[in-house]
Amino acid sequence: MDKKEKKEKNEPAPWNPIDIKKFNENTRTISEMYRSDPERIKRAEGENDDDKNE
Amino acid sequence: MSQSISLEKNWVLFDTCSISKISVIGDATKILSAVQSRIGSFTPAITSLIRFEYLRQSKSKDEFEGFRDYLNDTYTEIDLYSKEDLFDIYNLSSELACVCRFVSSNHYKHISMVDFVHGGLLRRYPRNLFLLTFDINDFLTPIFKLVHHESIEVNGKLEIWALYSFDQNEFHKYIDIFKNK
Repeated sequence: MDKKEKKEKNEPAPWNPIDIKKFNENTRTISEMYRSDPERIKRAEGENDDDKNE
Repeated sequence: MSQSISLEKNWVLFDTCSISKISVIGDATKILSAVQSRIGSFTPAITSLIRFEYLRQSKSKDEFEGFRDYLNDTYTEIDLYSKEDLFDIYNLSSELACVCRFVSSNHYKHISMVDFVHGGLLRRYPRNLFLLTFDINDFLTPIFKLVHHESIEVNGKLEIWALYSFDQNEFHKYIDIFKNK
Protein backbone atom coordinates (compact mmCIF):
# COMPACT_ATOMS: atom_id res chain seq x y z
CA MET A 1 0.00 0.00 0.00
CA ASP A 2 1.54 3.32 -0.95
CA LYS A 3 1.65 6.29 1.40
CA LYS A 4 -1.16 8.16 -0.33
CA GLU A 5 -3.51 5.17 -0.20
CA LYS A 6 -2.72 4.66 3.50
CA LYS A 7 -3.50 8.29 4.28
CA GLU A 8 -6.82 8.13 2.46
CA LYS A 9 -7.81 5.02 4.42
CA ASN A 10 -7.25 6.99 7.63
CA GLU A 11 -5.62 4.05 9.38
CA PRO A 12 -4.87 4.55 13.05
CA ALA A 13 -1.32 4.02 14.28
CA PRO A 14 -0.83 0.64 16.00
CA TRP A 15 -1.16 0.58 19.78
CA ASN A 16 1.83 -1.06 21.48
CA PRO A 17 2.06 -1.25 25.27
CA ILE A 18 5.14 0.49 26.64
CA ASP A 19 8.16 -1.72 27.15
CA ILE A 20 10.13 0.23 29.75
CA LYS A 21 13.26 -1.90 29.32
CA LYS A 22 13.37 -1.35 25.55
CA PHE A 23 12.50 2.34 25.94
CA ASN A 24 15.44 2.76 28.32
CA GLU A 25 17.84 0.82 26.11
CA ASN A 26 17.03 3.20 23.23
CA THR A 27 17.23 6.21 25.51
CA ARG A 28 20.61 5.19 26.93
CA THR A 29 22.06 5.14 23.41
CA ILE A 30 20.79 8.64 22.62
CA SER A 31 21.84 9.83 26.07
CA GLU A 32 25.44 8.78 25.36
CA MET A 33 25.26 10.88 22.20
CA TYR A 34 24.10 13.87 24.24
CA ARG A 35 26.71 13.39 26.93
CA SER A 36 29.51 13.20 24.37
CA ASP A 37 28.85 16.84 23.50
CA PRO A 38 27.85 19.39 26.19
CA GLU A 39 26.64 21.67 23.38
CA ARG A 40 23.92 19.12 22.62
CA ILE A 41 22.77 19.16 26.23
CA LYS A 42 22.57 22.96 26.12
CA ARG A 43 20.51 22.75 22.95
CA ALA A 44 18.22 20.16 24.54
CA GLU A 45 17.75 22.31 27.61
CA GLY A 46 17.01 25.42 25.59
CA GLU A 47 14.73 23.54 23.24
CA ASN A 48 11.49 25.42 22.35
CA ASP A 49 12.88 28.71 23.67
CA ASP A 50 13.86 29.65 20.12
CA ASP A 51 10.31 29.11 18.94
CA LYS A 52 8.94 31.34 21.62
CA ASN A 53 11.41 34.12 20.93
CA GLU A 54 10.80 34.08 17.20
CA MET B 1 -16.95 21.07 15.06
CA SER B 2 -16.27 17.40 15.81
CA GLN B 3 -17.43 15.50 18.83
CA SER B 4 -14.70 14.15 21.09
CA ILE B 5 -13.51 10.71 20.05
CA SER B 6 -12.56 7.84 22.30
CA LEU B 7 -9.43 5.85 21.49
CA GLU B 8 -9.57 2.22 22.53
CA LYS B 9 -6.49 2.39 24.74
CA ASN B 10 -4.25 4.94 26.41
CA TRP B 11 -1.68 6.98 24.49
CA VAL B 12 0.84 9.41 25.97
CA LEU B 13 2.14 12.17 23.76
CA PHE B 14 5.70 13.15 24.67
CA ASP B 15 6.33 16.77 23.67
CA THR B 16 9.68 17.88 22.24
CA CYS B 17 10.88 19.22 25.56
CA SER B 18 10.15 15.97 27.40
CA ILE B 19 11.94 13.90 24.72
CA SER B 20 14.98 16.17 24.98
CA LYS B 21 15.06 16.07 28.79
CA ILE B 22 14.57 12.29 28.86
CA SER B 23 17.39 11.99 26.32
CA VAL B 24 19.64 13.91 28.70
CA ILE B 25 18.54 11.94 31.79
CA GLY B 26 19.14 8.63 30.00
CA ASP B 27 16.88 6.55 32.24
CA ALA B 28 13.15 7.17 32.13
CA THR B 29 12.14 4.39 34.53
CA LYS B 30 10.88 6.76 37.27
CA ILE B 31 8.79 8.77 34.83
CA LEU B 32 7.38 5.83 32.88
CA SER B 33 6.57 3.83 36.02
CA ALA B 34 4.78 6.82 37.57
CA VAL B 35 2.71 7.33 34.40
CA GLN B 36 1.93 3.62 34.19
CA SER B 37 0.79 3.51 37.81
CA ARG B 38 -1.55 6.49 37.20
CA ILE B 39 -3.18 5.50 33.88
CA GLY B 40 -2.20 1.87 33.26
CA SER B 41 -0.46 0.66 30.14
CA PHE B 42 0.07 3.15 27.32
CA THR B 43 1.85 3.71 24.02
CA PRO B 44 4.52 6.44 23.97
CA ALA B 45 3.60 8.70 21.05
CA ILE B 46 4.71 11.74 19.08
CA THR B 47 3.27 13.77 16.22
CA SER B 48 4.98 14.90 13.03
CA LEU B 49 5.28 18.38 14.59
CA ILE B 50 7.21 16.94 17.54
CA ARG B 51 9.38 14.96 15.11
CA PHE B 52 10.14 18.19 13.24
CA GLU B 53 10.98 20.13 16.42
CA TYR B 54 13.24 17.39 17.77
CA LEU B 55 15.07 16.74 14.50
CA ARG B 56 15.73 20.39 13.86
CA GLN B 57 18.18 20.38 16.79
CA SER B 58 20.50 18.35 14.55
CA LYS B 59 23.72 20.04 13.59
CA SER B 60 25.09 17.25 11.41
CA LYS B 61 23.94 14.33 9.30
CA ASP B 62 25.09 11.86 11.99
CA GLU B 63 23.12 13.67 14.66
CA PHE B 64 20.07 13.83 12.43
CA GLU B 65 20.23 10.09 11.78
CA GLY B 66 20.82 9.30 15.46
CA PHE B 67 17.85 11.42 16.55
CA ARG B 68 15.64 10.04 13.77
CA ASP B 69 16.44 6.41 14.62
CA TYR B 70 15.80 7.07 18.30
CA LEU B 71 12.34 8.52 17.56
CA ASN B 72 11.49 5.68 15.17
CA ASP B 73 12.57 2.98 17.63
CA THR B 74 10.98 4.49 20.72
CA TYR B 75 7.78 6.38 19.86
CA THR B 76 4.73 5.69 17.70
CA GLU B 77 3.74 8.58 15.49
CA ILE B 78 0.10 9.62 15.84
CA ASP B 79 -0.57 11.42 12.66
CA LEU B 80 -3.41 13.19 11.01
CA TYR B 81 -4.11 11.18 7.91
CA SER B 82 -6.72 13.18 6.09
CA LYS B 83 -7.53 16.76 5.23
CA GLU B 84 -10.65 16.44 7.41
CA ASP B 85 -8.54 15.40 10.41
CA LEU B 86 -6.25 18.36 9.97
CA PHE B 87 -9.10 20.79 9.50
CA ASP B 88 -10.83 19.39 12.57
CA ILE B 89 -7.73 19.66 14.79
CA TYR B 90 -7.02 23.21 13.62
CA ASN B 91 -10.61 24.20 14.43
CA LEU B 92 -10.36 22.63 17.88
CA SER B 93 -6.98 24.32 18.42
CA SER B 94 -8.13 27.78 17.33
CA GLU B 95 -11.11 27.74 19.65
CA LEU B 96 -8.85 26.45 22.43
CA ALA B 97 -6.39 29.31 21.81
CA CYS B 98 -9.22 31.87 22.15
CA VAL B 99 -10.35 30.35 25.43
CA CYS B 100 -6.75 30.15 26.76
CA ARG B 101 -6.28 33.82 25.93
CA PHE B 102 -9.50 34.57 27.81
CA VAL B 103 -8.42 32.47 30.83
CA SER B 104 -4.89 33.90 31.11
CA SER B 105 -3.69 36.52 28.65
CA ASN B 106 -0.26 36.59 30.30
CA HIS B 107 0.41 32.89 29.88
CA TYR B 108 -1.18 32.84 26.47
CA LYS B 109 1.61 34.96 24.96
CA HIS B 110 4.17 32.24 25.69
CA ILE B 111 2.25 29.31 24.23
CA SER B 112 3.38 28.24 20.76
CA MET B 113 1.18 27.22 17.87
CA VAL B 114 2.51 23.65 18.19
CA ASP B 115 1.31 23.51 21.81
CA PHE B 116 -2.15 24.65 20.74
CA VAL B 117 -2.30 21.98 18.04
CA HIS B 118 -1.38 19.37 20.65
CA GLY B 119 -3.99 20.90 22.96
CA GLY B 120 -6.48 20.45 20.11
CA LEU B 121 -5.48 16.80 19.84
CA LEU B 122 -5.97 16.31 23.60
CA ARG B 123 -9.36 17.97 23.21
CA ARG B 124 -10.30 15.55 20.45
CA TYR B 125 -9.36 12.48 22.52
CA PRO B 126 -10.09 13.59 26.09
CA ARG B 127 -10.42 10.14 27.62
CA ASN B 128 -7.39 8.29 26.31
CA LEU B 129 -4.80 10.80 25.15
CA PHE B 130 -2.42 12.33 27.69
CA LEU B 131 0.48 14.71 27.28
CA LEU B 132 3.80 14.51 29.12
CA THR B 133 5.75 17.75 29.31
CA PHE B 134 8.41 19.61 31.26
CA ASP B 135 6.98 22.95 30.00
CA ILE B 136 4.35 23.08 32.69
CA ASN B 137 3.19 26.63 31.86
CA ASP B 138 2.11 25.70 28.34
CA PHE B 139 -0.98 23.76 29.36
CA LEU B 140 -3.26 25.95 31.43
CA THR B 141 -5.12 24.43 34.29
CA PRO B 142 -8.07 24.12 34.74
CA ILE B 143 -8.63 23.60 30.97
CA PHE B 144 -6.04 20.84 31.11
CA LYS B 145 -6.36 18.43 33.99
CA LEU B 146 -3.13 17.86 35.86
CA VAL B 147 -3.17 14.06 36.14
CA HIS B 148 0.22 13.74 37.80
CA HIS B 149 3.40 15.70 38.41
CA GLU B 150 6.78 14.95 39.93
CA SER B 151 10.22 16.45 40.21
CA ILE B 152 13.29 14.84 38.67
CA GLU B 153 16.96 15.73 38.38
CA VAL B 154 18.04 16.72 34.86
CA ASN B 155 21.75 17.34 34.44
CA GLY B 156 22.14 18.41 38.09
CA LYS B 157 19.03 20.62 38.17
CA LEU B 158 15.69 19.76 39.74
CA GLU B 159 12.87 20.02 37.19
CA ILE B 160 9.16 19.22 37.18
CA TRP B 161 7.42 17.06 34.64
CA ALA B 162 3.66 16.79 34.38
CA LEU B 163 1.04 14.58 32.78
CA TYR B 164 -2.07 16.33 31.45
CA SER B 165 -5.37 15.39 29.89
CA PHE B 166 -8.13 17.62 28.56
CA ASP B 167 -10.88 18.63 30.97
CA GLN B 168 -14.05 18.86 28.89
CA ASN B 169 -16.25 20.04 31.75
CA GLU B 170 -13.99 22.94 32.68
CA PHE B 171 -13.51 23.87 29.04
CA HIS B 172 -17.27 24.01 28.46
CA LYS B 173 -17.68 26.30 31.46
CA TYR B 174 -15.12 28.70 30.02
CA ILE B 175 -16.39 28.54 26.48
CA ASP B 176 -19.90 29.41 27.66
CA ILE B 177 -18.55 32.50 29.44
CA PHE B 178 -16.36 33.33 26.42
CA LYS B 179 -19.24 33.05 23.94
CA ASN B 180 -21.53 35.20 26.05
CA LYS B 181 -18.96 37.91 26.55
